Amino acid sequence: MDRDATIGVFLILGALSLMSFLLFWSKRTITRIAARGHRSVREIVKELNGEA
Amino acid sequence: MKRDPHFASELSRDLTLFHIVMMGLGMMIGAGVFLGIGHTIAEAGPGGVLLTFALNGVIALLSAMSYAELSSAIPRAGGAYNFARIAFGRGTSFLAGWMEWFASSVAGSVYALTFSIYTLRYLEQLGLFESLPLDQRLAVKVVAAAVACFFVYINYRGASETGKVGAFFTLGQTLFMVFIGAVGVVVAFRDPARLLNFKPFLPQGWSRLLVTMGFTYVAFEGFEVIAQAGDETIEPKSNLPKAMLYSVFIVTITYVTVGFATVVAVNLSASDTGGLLGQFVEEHAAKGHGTVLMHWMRHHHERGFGEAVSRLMPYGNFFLTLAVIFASTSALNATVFSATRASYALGRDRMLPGVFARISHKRKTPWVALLGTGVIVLIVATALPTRDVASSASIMFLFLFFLVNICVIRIRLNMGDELSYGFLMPFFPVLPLLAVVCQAVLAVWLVHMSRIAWIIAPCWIAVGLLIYRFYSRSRAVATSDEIQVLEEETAPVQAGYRIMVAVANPDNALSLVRNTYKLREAKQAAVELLHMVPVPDQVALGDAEQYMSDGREGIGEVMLYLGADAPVSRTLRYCRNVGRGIVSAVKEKRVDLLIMGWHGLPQDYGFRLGSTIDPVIQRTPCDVAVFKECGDRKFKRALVPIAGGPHAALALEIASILVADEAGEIVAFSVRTDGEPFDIDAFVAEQTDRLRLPADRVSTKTVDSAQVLAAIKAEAQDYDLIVLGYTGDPLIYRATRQSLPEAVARACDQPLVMVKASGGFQSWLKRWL
Repeated sequence: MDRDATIGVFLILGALSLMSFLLFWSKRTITRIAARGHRSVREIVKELNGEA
Repeated sequence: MKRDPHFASELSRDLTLFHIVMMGLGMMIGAGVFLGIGHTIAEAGPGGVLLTFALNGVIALLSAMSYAELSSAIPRAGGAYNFARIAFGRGTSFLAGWMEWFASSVAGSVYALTFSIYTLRYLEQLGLFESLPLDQRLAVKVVAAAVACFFVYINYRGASETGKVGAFFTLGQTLFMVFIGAVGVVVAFRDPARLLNFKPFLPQGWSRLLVTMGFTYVAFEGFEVIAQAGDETIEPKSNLPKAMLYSVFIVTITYVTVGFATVVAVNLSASDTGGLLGQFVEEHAAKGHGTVLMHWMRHHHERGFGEAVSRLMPYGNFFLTLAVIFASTSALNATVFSATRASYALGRDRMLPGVFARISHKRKTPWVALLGTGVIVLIVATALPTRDVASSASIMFLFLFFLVNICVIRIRLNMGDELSYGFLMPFFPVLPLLAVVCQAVLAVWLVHMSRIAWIIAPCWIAVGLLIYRFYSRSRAVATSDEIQVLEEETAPVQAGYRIMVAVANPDNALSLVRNTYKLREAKQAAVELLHMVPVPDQVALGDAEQYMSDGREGIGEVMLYLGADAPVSRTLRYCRNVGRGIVSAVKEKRVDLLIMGWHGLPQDYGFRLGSTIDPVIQRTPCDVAVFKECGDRKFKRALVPIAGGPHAALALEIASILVADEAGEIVAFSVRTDGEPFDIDAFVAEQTDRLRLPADRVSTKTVDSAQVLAAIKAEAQDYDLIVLGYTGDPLIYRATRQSLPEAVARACDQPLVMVKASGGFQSWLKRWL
C-alpha cells in the first residue's frame, strides 16, 4: 500500500470515528437537556458541568 | 392583510423524526452522489472519492450542529433567513434569503440535469435515443427544461412536498444506495484483485481533494430543508437537531460505501476490459489501475457513476435509472418548493417587491415567487454546463452555511439567556469557527473546478446587495424580534467621550445620575440616558406604550437634575430583552462608558449579578461602571482592592473622580497570600502618572492574609466607598464559580462601584459579534 493510501485510510477512519463520536455525544446531550426541560445556555451549561 | 389578534393560526405538528430525517436525505441523495462520484473520481482519483465524502461529512456535520443548535432554540420555519434576521437584522437576513433562493433554485437545476442525463442514458442503452433527431447535449438540456417546467407546474397546482409521502420514496432510494454499497463490499471480498483499482490512491495528489470537496458539498445540504420544517415537527427542540445530525451521518456513510462500490465495480484486470475500457487499460495500465479508472471516468463525466454501477449487478442499469428518477424528481420538487418559499418570504417582508408575495386566487400558491424560481432553474439548467451548475449550487450553499455558522456564535453570545435550547454544540465557539474556515477554503478552491461559478455567485450576491441598498432597506417590514426606538431626543453632537446611563426606574435614576454628573464633569463627556422598555412576546409593538411610564418619569427627573447646560440625549427603546437592548444601544452609539445600577439582591439562578447586568458586562465593548447603593453621598475615603487585573487602572480613575469633590483619599489595597507577590507601589505609581491622579491623595496598603475576602471586608470598615474591578470576562460562559469581586460586592455593606475596562481585540470582536 502506498503512503497516500495509508494516510488516506487513517483519515477516512478518523473522520468517520469523529463523526460517530460527535453524533453520540450530541444525541446524549439532546436527551439529557430534554429530560430536564429546555432552558437557557447558562442554565444548561451549569447543569451539564454540575453532572460532570 | 390584517390579522385578528385573538386567533393565532399555526401549522399542525405531525412530522415525526423519521419523516424529517427522510426529508433531509431526500434533498441530499438527489444528485450529489449521482453526478458527484463520477466527477470526483475523474478529478481526484479512486481514493479521492472516499476522502472527499468522508471529510466533507465532517465539515457538513459541523454546520449541521450549528443548524441543530439554532433550530432547537428557534424551531420556526425560515431556516437561514430566520436565523440571520434574529442574529444580525434585516440586511444580513435579506442576503441569507437571497442566497437561499438562488442556492435552492440552482440545486433544482442540478436535479433536473441529473434526471435528464440518466434518463437519456437509459434510453440510449435501450437503443431508443438514436432514433431521435437530437444532439446529445441539446437533448439533455431540453429534457432538463421540460422536467423543470413540469415540477414548477406541479408546485403551482399546490402538490407540494409534504414530507410524509416523500419519506417512503426517500427510504426506498436510500436503501438502494446502501444496497449498491453492500454489493460493492461483497464484490471486493470475493475478488480482492479489484482493490488494485485504488492504486495509486491519489493519482493527482492531495490538492485536488479540496476542489472535489467543494464541488460535492451540494450533496450535504439537506439540513436546510429540515430547518424549514420547524413549524410542523413533533417535539421540534429535540427532533430537529437529531434529524439534522442523523441525516448527515447516514449520507456520509452511504456516500463513502457507494464511492467504494463504484471504484471496485469496474474489473480492470479481467475480461471486463474489452472495448472502450480496454483502450484505456492499454493506454494507462503502466501507471496503475487507479489512473486507468480516473481517465475512464473523465471520458464519461457525470455518467461515470452509472457506467460503473451498471457493471456491478444484473439489471444494474434499470435499477439505477429507477433510483435516479425517484431521487432527482423528489429532490427537484423539494428544492423548487424551498426556493419558492424563500423568495415568497422576501416578498412578504417587502425585501423584494410585494408582488413576490402574491398568492394565486385559484390555487392558493405564491405564483410570482414560483415563476421567479422557475426562471432561475431554467436559465441555469439550459445555459450552463452541468459541472458549472453543480459548482454554483455548492458555492452558494457554502456561503449560506458560512453565514449560519456566524449566526450560531452571535445568537448564543447575545441571546443565550433568553432562548430555551434543546441542543448545545460542544467546543463552542471552536467548532463553528472551524466550519467557517473550512467552508471558506472549499469555496476558494472551487475556482479550480469552475471559474463560471466564481463569477455567478459573487455577481448574484452583489446584485442582492444593490437591491437591498436601493430598494429593500427603506421598505422592509419590521418584525417583533427587532429592538426599536420609540422616542429619541438627541442633544447637539459633541465629539469626544460618551457616557450612557441605563435608567431602569425612577428610584435608581437620580442616584445614578448624581454620580454620572461627577464623571461627566471630569471627562467633559456627552451623556445619553437610555431606558429600555421590556415588552413580553405576547404583546404587540403597538401596545408597548403602556409599559413606558416609569421610564419617562425616571428620565424626566434625570434631565431636570443635569440641567440645561449639560448636553444630554435621551432614548426610550422597546425590546424583548433589556440586556440585549442595552448592548445593542452601546454598540450603535459607540459609547465609551456605560453606567448601570445594581440592587445587590441575592444571586439569580445561574447569574452572578443579575440576568441583565451579567450579559451587559460580558458583551459590551466599552468601559462599564455598576453602582450599588451610592445614592447622593459624598465620599471621603475610597478603598480600591487591586490584584493587578486589567480593570484595576479604571477602578483607580473612577475612585479618584468620585472622591474629588471632597478631596478624598484613595487607598489602593492588596492582600499578600502565599502566591506570587504583587508590586502594588509600582503599579499605583505608574497609573498615577498615566491618569494624572492626585499623588498626594493616593496611597497603598498591603496586608498578609490567606483569606482575601475576609481581609478586604475587615479593611472596608474604615471606608465609605469601595471601587473594584470586575473579573471573569469570558467569551464562553463560566457560570459555575463566584469571583472575588462579586463576593466582595455581596459581603460589604458600603456603597460600591464595580468597573470593567474595555480591552483591545476582545472589545473589537465583541463590537463586531
